[in-house]
Formats: sequence, structure tokens, C-alpha cells
Amino acid sequence: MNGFQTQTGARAAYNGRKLSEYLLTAPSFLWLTLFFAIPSVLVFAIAFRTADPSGGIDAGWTLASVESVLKNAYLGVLWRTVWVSCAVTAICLALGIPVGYWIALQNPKYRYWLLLVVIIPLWTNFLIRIFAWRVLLHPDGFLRQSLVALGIVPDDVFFLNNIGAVIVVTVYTCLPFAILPIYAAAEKFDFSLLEAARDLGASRFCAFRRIFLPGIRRGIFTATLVVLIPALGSYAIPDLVGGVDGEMLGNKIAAKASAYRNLPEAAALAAFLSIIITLPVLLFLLKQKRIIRSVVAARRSAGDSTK
Amino acid sequence: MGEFFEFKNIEKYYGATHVVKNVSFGVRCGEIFSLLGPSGCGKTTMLRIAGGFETPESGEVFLDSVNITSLAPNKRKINTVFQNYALFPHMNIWDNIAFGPRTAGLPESEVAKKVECMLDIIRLGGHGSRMPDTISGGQKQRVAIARALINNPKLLLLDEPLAALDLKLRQYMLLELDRIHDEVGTTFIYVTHDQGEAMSLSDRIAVMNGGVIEQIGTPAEIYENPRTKFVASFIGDTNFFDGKISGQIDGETCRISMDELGEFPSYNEHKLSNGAKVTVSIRPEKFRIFGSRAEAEGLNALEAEVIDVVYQGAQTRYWVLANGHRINVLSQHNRCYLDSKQPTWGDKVWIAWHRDDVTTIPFESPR
Repeated sequence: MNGFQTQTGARAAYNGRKLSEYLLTAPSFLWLTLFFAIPSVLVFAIAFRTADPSGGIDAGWTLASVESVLKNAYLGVLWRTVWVSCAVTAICLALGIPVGYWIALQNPKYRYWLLLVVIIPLWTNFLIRIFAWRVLLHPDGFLRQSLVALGIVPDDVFFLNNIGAVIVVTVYTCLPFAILPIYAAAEKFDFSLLEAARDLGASRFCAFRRIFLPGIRRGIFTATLVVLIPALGSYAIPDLVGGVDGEMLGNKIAAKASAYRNLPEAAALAAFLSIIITLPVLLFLLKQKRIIRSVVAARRSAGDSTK
Repeated sequence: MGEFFEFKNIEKYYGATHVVKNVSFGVRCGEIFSLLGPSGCGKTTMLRIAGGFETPESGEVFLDSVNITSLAPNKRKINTVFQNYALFPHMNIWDNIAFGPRTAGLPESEVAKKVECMLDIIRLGGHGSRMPDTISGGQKQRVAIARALINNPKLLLLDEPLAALDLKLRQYMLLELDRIHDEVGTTFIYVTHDQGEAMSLSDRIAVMNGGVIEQIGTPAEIYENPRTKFVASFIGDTNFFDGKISGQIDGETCRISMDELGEFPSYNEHKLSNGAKVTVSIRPEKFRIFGSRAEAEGLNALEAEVIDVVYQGAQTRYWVLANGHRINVLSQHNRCYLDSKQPTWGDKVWIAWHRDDVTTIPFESPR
């Protein structure tokens, strides 16, 4: 009898806690529903509507837009979008990891100044920075003119309006967002572990690869996500410095929506892009969850309930 | 005579700070050698120089007669147990211990055999799959030792390995370290600021202070016969008296006049001549307490007043006042403590000591 009462009491307390949890998360939940979930569903839904020639949506349902998206015409752009984004991410990591490592090793007094240097470009408007790159990379610009004059670059090489320009400018834009999470992880990294690895016979490079990189893996994952996802959806950079060869999926969506006035097809493309972005994130999150679960299980088996 | 491991004239600066001043000493094969000193005395720097993490400004380091001064840490047959253990947090115990042999490129079957063997030695068999953050401090400590020893180092460096453990665990780990040392026979250099650890573990101790070695010797030599005032005060408790040699009795004994206390025959190890200023060190337990001068027959004795009594179970610590000097006296309890009359506050007593229980240190001008 007594035990039963205690049990119901505990259940009530549990339910109460659950309720307060719901109430606490309700505002953000509402926000996400209104401004993320519903628009996403709308985009997915519009993809199956028929197009209105004046640029709106007509009555009725059709698979025409989806079929059109899956046609070969887009595969080239899709492939370019993916490989450019992956290349941008790889370059950002290749630059961001050494920079983050180096900043973390500096005297704390100077670290914040160095971080400031990383962040300062972000104070200037995104579009203005891209236009600055246009000036810099322009065929008659200072950079190309002097390189050609010095004979370093042949006269028929152009820097602007090609895929190379898209990669360079996207890397420039995304690099701070790669450096910051990597630095945050590196700053917490215990550098005496590298000494321990060296002590146990590892070369500098081996210690870096086997101890430092796994040690900051969370920072690397975060950097990958915050670079890869915006890169996949980039629109302004390819539009302004990419030329015809530098077009990406984002530009196609914009063209469908504004130039072709075909909203369903734009929506289908957008949905397609969302799926492409969501898949790697989902895989990553699943992996994270598995790691967390295995750590929890290990702790539990160790009889350690405190952590 | 060639030492197994040797520092020769090591000098080290951190910026403008001179942290190691012309230090030379050797370590014999198979011994546990302690570097003992207060924090900031340069002992950890010596260890880091031995491990290859610091390069001395001048001087040389020899291991087995080979000059290793400029060798990178990964090229030395020396391994380190770090103060914070420095276990790799993303690897389980097994992979942590296997790190060295794997890096050396040993086949996985051989690695497995060695790891199992090490897990047995540190008595953590079956715990290989645990992650470092799921085991206790003492277990981490043992894993760190195993991870170092699996590489068969010629020399194992231990940097304050017990500092992070609580008292009980520290005592247990001291025994464990001794057992592991007996089992593997590797030469250990053990850095600590804890004289108790150094005394109970070491074959020999080097006492460091202010970047120099003050004394090297067995624990008993260091305790019973300190060379400098610093060593006498850092290792155990002692009473210091300023004095002057006032006469010679025979080759080994002299008369020392100690401030206002009087003149006493004392052992004169350094064969100091008359007039030399000295510091006299007498350990608290070397004193005996008597009720009258007659009982202290044949000993040096001073009349004193008991001003404090601290009962500590196995012993009692007395503070007595003799002619303005506060003297610390430690009396071991013998049988029938409660039945015999013990000195108490305000008692007039005689404290007595044997002339050979005196350590005479040549006077050092304050540094």
C-alpha cells in the first residue's frame, strides 16, 4: 500500500517535471514550427502543384516539376554544386585546422587579437566584400595585370567569372566560420597529450594526426557543417563571380523563380537541395547519438552515476 | 666510473630566469632515484630535459654512455609518466597502452601480447575496453605507468605521479610503484616535492633548491647527515642553533659554543677549526626529556621549561623554552604511558642529547 503510494507520488512528480519541460521549450518549438517547419512543408507541397504562367501557383497536382528536376539537365549543376562545396569545405578545413591550432598555442593575451583579425572581415557587408573580390580578380584588375606583366600568369588566364573564382571567394567567406569552432575545440585541447605521444615514440606529424585531430573532432565536425551547408546553398557568390560556368543549384532556383516564373519547379529544386543537405547532417547526428549512447553505456557499466 | 644516466653541467634559462644552474649528477642502473625539492626548484625542468622536451642552454645528457642531448623525445629510450597522466581521452585503456608499440610498427598479435602482459602487471586485466574518464585516479595512474613501461624504456621518468591522489591511495600507489619496479627492474627517476614519498621509495635522493643540487645520498644519509641548512630543514623537522667552534676534543669531536646556551661537545664531521662559525642542527627526536640533570648522565643537557605539549598517540611533541630558544622535542612513547608521570605545561625539565646526534653545518651567509 505504502509502496504503491510512493510510486504514484513519484509518477506525479515525473509528470509534473515533464509538463514544465514542455512549457519551457514551447516558445522555441512554436518559433521553429511557424518559421521553419511550415515553410519547409509549403516548399515541398508547392513542388507538386502546377505552374501558373503569370508566376504563381495553379490549382491541381502534378509530378511534372519533380520529373523536370530529375531530368539530366540538372545533374551537371548538381554535381558542380556538390564538388565545389566539398572542395570549399576541404580547403577551409586545411586552412582552418592549422590556424586554429596555431592561435590556441599563442599566449592568451594575443589570442583575442588574433581572433579579432579573423572576425574583422565579417564587419563589412557580405555583398561589398564580394564586389571587392570582383575588382581584385577583374581581367583589368591590379592582381592579374601585374601577374601577367611579371610573366607568372599567361595572358589567356582569367581569374573572374569561372569556377575557380567561386571557390576562392566562398573559401574566403566561410573561413572564419571554420576557424572559430576549430579554435574553440583546440583551445580546450590538452597540449600535454602531444608531448605524451611524442614521448611514446610518435613523430610530430603522427602525434598531430593521431592525438590532436581526434581531440578536436567535434570542432572539425562543426566546421564541416557550417561551411558545407551554406556552400551547398550558395547563390550570391556564383552569381557575382561565377559567370556561366560557375552556376550552382542556388542560381538555378533563383532563375526558376524569377526569370522563368515557374514557382513549382523552383520549389522542387529547393526541396531537392534540402534533401541533399539534410542527408549528411542526419547521418552525422545519428553517429553523434551512437557515440553519446556508447559513452553513457560505458559509464554506466563502470558504475559511475555521477557523470 | 660511468653512470647509467648522467647530467653533465646542465644550464637552463626560462627567459631571464636561471632555473637550472650547472647541475651534474648520475643515476645508476636499476635504481629509484628521486629529485626532491620545493616547487620552482628546477626538478621538473631536469625531468623535461631528460625526456627531451626542453633543450638545455649548455651541458650534456648521457644515457648508457650515449650523448642524447639533442635527440628528439620520440628517439629516446626514455618514457615519462606525466603528472596529469595525459591519457589519450579518445582511446580506451587498451589502445592507450598499445600506443607505443603500435607507433613502433609492431605486428598487432605482438602488441596484444604485450598489452595483456602490462595489464596483468598493473592488475587491470579485463579493463582494457574502459575509457580513461570512466576509471579512478589510481587506475589512471597505473595505466599511465603501463603505457610508458610497455616500450621497455631504459629509463622511466615519473613527474609527481602521486600528487593528484588522496592520502590513502598515495600510500597504496607507493607500494604499487615499488612492486612494479621490482617486477620490471627499470631505472626510475622520480620527481616529487613530498619528502615522505622520496624517503620511502628511493634508493638515492637528490635534494634540489633554487636550481642547484644541495645534496645527493641515500634517504638515511640525507636525513641523518644533511650537508646544508636547506636540506636539514626541508627533510623532516629540526632545531637550528648558531654557534662557533671553541675548541677541539679529539679528531672527531669539538666544542661548540651555542649562542647563550653554553658550550657543548659535538661531533665535528667537517673537521672545522677553532673560530669557525657553524649552524647546529638537532632533530626533535634526538632529544630526551629528564626531570633532573643527574638522569642525563654522559649526555649534553639544557635546562628548559615546557611551554606546549601536543599528544600525538605514538609520540608527544613538546615545545620547550631554554634561555630564549624555542626547541622542538619529539618523545616516542614507550610502555605504560598512562602510568608514568609525563612532563606538562610549566614543568622545569632537562633536555638531553648525545654529542654524536648533532649535525654541524658550516655557516652559510644568507642567500
